[in-house]
Amino acid sequence: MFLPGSDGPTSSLTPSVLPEHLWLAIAVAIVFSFILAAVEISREVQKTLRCCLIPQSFFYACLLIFGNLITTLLAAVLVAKMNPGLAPYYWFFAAFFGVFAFETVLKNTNVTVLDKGVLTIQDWLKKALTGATAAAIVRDVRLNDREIGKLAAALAKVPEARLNAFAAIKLASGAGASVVPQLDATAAANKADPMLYKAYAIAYAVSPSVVRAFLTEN
Amino acid sequence: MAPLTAIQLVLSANLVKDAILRTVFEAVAKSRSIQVKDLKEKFSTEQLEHSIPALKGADLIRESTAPIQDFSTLYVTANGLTAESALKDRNLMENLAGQS
Repeated sequence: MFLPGSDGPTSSLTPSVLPEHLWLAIAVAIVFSFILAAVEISREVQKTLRCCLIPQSFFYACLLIFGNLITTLLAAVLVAKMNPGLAPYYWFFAAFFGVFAFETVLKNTNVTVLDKGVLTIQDWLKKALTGATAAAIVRDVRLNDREIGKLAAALAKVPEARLNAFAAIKLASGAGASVVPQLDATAAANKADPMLYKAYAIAYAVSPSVVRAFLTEN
Repeated sequence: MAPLTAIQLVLSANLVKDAILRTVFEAVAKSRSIQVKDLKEKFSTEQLEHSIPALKGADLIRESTAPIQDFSTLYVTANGLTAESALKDRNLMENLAGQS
């Protein structure tokens, strides 16, 4: 890997520059890997990042780090052959090329036993990502259910007239003024407690901060 | 028993043959998690009564129950994510075949 104007590899420079900064390349590769893992998982989960902080995400990140570290070490050997003027930044180039080369390596690497493909690294990563995504979805659902449940329980204790007025204001879009009778009718059809039904409807549809403000006033 | 592959999951859950099942599954999988109440706005009670137990039975979706059933949450499982990916690949292949 030569940059324009490079004189080619300088064997006297290679050992003195890269090894002492190798730990920096490794650190940058690890940080890159964590960022890539966070971006990938949150993109798959389609929810907030808070639900992605789970052990399964860490396993996926570890797998990415493992692959990225190997390619970073390989890239470190190659970047040492770049223009000597860039020597102070070799560690950064090693991490950059290492992390992004991993994508290419991924597409061309197979684990085979007796010439039979067993599992590609891509499959490992896909399975780890799916596991992390599924676990993050469960966590998101549980966090939401807990929060909504608390808000709904508190709303159900508010006097009915006030709750109806709040529902009429906040849930009116599309249903107009008939939103409260509609909710009462749906609750009756489902044999549910109308107060709790309205409380849940509000807790799901209205921003938690607005609901909390309403609860403190009542 | 070895875990089912994506294609096996899709076939065993009848997602290819049963259009209603597939549409309900795609609605849950696309949003990752959805309230039963929101599904009721998109599908009839009969369609949901037919598809939700079948999708749960195939472990493609699960339910987090709330005190009121309408506010229970249906969410996609790891198997569901795998099946969703297989369905997307299948749709892509069909679109490509249609264009050529």
